[in-house]
Amino acid sequence: MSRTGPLARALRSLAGAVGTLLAASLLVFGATALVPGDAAAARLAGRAGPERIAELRHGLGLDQPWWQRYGHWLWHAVQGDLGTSYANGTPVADLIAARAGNSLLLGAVAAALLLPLSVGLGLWAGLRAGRAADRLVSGATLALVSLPEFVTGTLLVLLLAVGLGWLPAVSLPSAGNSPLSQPELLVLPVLTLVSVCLAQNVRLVRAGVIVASASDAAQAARLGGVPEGRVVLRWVLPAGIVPAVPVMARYLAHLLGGTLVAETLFGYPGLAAALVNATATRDTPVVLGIALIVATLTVMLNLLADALAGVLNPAAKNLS
Amino acid sequence: MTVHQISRRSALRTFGVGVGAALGSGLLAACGSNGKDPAALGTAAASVAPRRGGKLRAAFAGSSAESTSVLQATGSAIDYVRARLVWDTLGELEGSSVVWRLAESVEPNADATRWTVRVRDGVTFSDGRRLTAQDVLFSLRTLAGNPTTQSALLGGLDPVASTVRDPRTLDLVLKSPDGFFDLALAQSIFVIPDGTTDFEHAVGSGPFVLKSWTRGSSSLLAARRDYWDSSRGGPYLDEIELASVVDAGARVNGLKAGQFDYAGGITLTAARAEANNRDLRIVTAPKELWSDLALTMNLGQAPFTRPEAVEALKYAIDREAMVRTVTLGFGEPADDALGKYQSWYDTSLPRRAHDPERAKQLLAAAGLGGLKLSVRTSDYEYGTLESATAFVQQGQAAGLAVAVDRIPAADYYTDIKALLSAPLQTNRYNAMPLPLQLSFFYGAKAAYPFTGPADDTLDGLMTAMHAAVGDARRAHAVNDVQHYLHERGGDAVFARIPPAAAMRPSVRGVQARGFFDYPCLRDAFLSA
Repeated sequence: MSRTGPLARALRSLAGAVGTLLAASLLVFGATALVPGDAAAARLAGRAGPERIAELRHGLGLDQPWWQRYGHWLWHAVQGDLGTSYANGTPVADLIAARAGNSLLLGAVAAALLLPLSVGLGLWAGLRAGRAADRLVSGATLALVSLPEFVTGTLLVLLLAVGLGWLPAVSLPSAGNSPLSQPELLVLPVLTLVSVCLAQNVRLVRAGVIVASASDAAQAARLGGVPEGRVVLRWVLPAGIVPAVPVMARYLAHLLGGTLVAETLFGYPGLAAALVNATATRDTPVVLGIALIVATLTVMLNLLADALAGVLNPAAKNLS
Repeated sequence: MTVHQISRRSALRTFGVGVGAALGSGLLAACGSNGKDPAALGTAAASVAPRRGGKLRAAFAGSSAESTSVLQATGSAIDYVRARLVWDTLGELEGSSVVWRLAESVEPNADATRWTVRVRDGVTFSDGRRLTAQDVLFSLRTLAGNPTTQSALLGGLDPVASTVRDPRTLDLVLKSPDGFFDLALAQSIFVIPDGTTDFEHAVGSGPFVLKSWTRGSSSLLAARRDYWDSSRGGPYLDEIELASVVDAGARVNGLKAGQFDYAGGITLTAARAEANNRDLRIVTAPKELWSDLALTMNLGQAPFTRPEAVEALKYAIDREAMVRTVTLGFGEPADDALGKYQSWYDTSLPRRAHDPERAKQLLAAAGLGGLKLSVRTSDYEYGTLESATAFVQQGQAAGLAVAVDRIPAADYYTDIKALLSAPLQTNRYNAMPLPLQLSFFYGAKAAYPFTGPADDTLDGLMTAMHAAVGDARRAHAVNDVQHYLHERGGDAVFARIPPAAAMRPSVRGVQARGFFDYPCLRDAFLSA
């Protein structure tokens, strides 16, 4: 392979990422344009007459052709201007900045727990495949994943907030504060998210570890007298987590981009609830703004996952 | 007609302007210990002397699109509750009576084409400016000239021709006679200083000022000790913190966990479940503020162009069963007319008994045997989808094949064309003063004629209603419209359903004053 190979691949990845984001924005815009009604109707229908709605529609520019509106939005978006909300005239960037921060915080804390727990438990269970410890971990994670997110969250609220009074039932920061200044607000949403995401990741790592542990490379190292701890760290762990990396990346994107059930159940002011609200009110600029953030996160994390898999997986390295 | 998506629901309820009155001293009504019988409402709170100080923590439905703009004060429940604390209104309703606030008096001329408003003296905005008639005119022009909820109420006002006569008097000129314009002026006409340009930071003359606010999260308000009306009541609290919580279940959980003192807009299921919880007080709206559930027939669309089909459907509805199943026993049957328990309501209107056989006969006589119907509905707010589902079986007994056409909650109202052309749909009419409600939904000038275009008779009755001046004539004119709609209208109003809220027993003094879901916290206090 030539020396420009990695650069070309990076450029191709970047072009793919930009194309994905463009396609995502077009799809989202198209979807909002196709559904019945618009932001003017959503804001005033049932409350003011059709003439007033028509005035508002004109004022918001919603009577222009869709391609013209999309072009207008795209032209400004590439310059960093996401426009203003149809619902209240606030700049979209202002509207979603705080919520994006909240979602990133919640997702980051959940991920900080989820990743080491997934790897640790998966490794522990995988190295003890078929034994009591494995059955315990597998059984427990399976039980957790079989519970819907809202059931897990509700049970946690009823037990830890309503019943014991240890934690707040609603994760809402007081006026002017961020959730970071009230960390207790994060506990229940994080526990809910981790419990739901943990099982699949643990099971993937466990499966990967079992395969890697029985691989020729690991067996040869053992026969060569390499201590088991070093075998695990050098051969089993890196190869074992490779299959889980893309899945973990998707979970990370899910966590960082907002989690609707947790936000609804705990009243946490994140991106997902804002996206639902904006969709319901046909607030296209806000929908596009949030969709772009989530799409960017997803694309970036997938690129990162690909790169990480390449580093971790000797086969992939050889192929390159 | 209203919504499930919380923002949507709030928005539409906003126009469902109610006549709030409370029992006793105007307090919200608490459920009896069995939590089932709204007739067993108590008014124990009225006997508790107000206590000064403390902070009330109240949770209401909000959204990520909340705003502190006075032009969007009615956008969500929490926006509205906050607005009622920051800005005073010209007037508000207690029962069916207007209680003027910043207006001292409002009087029509002989043909109700001009209204004279006398502005209260001695009122100051929170920045120290004194209230004048110019502020009121500016507020009316601003609310009428922007896409606000109030613009629909002020549609008859000629803002240009209206003038200030002197610092305390203004003359409002209407485009056509309207003997009920005083009711419109008592609906959320928030007053801001003349010349305001930044509507998000508009100064108010209300009992509280906004200290801090985070969109979609919470608002902290501090009491004004120089409030103009404090000699007659609140503010008693030092502070109020409003929490924006979209999910009704989360609001109840927060209340039970001790995070909140008051939770607005709880479900009837939660009201039932918590009825015996001694740590909470479940409250329902005074009956004037209950919502009306209806199956709405568009008389311009087949098969409801045939009066027999309209009449048959009204007889096909089992109202008692609807009360049991849809309102969970909290509601009561309705009599094909909106606004029961308001002083405008004609109590002589008879109830149609559930008579599926008669419905069958009517349909057969009209050659409509085996009629197939589709009910447009959605779960945008509790009671509508449930009503449609319950009617499927009831319709069968009357020989009607009823199918449920469920529309996504977000699409239900935004598709106005479908909304106004559906032959049959469910409706939840939230409480508002009956004359305004009739004008909004019926007649040639109606903004939302769900029952189709009005005939000449109805138009004549509506015109006469608007021209009526004086309480006796006005009541008579409203009753004429009601009788016509009861006999020939397209709304089969079959049940009344109460909105509910929950609070800690120490919370007192919360008043509906026209809006149960966005109560007035001006005189709220925490008892010892």
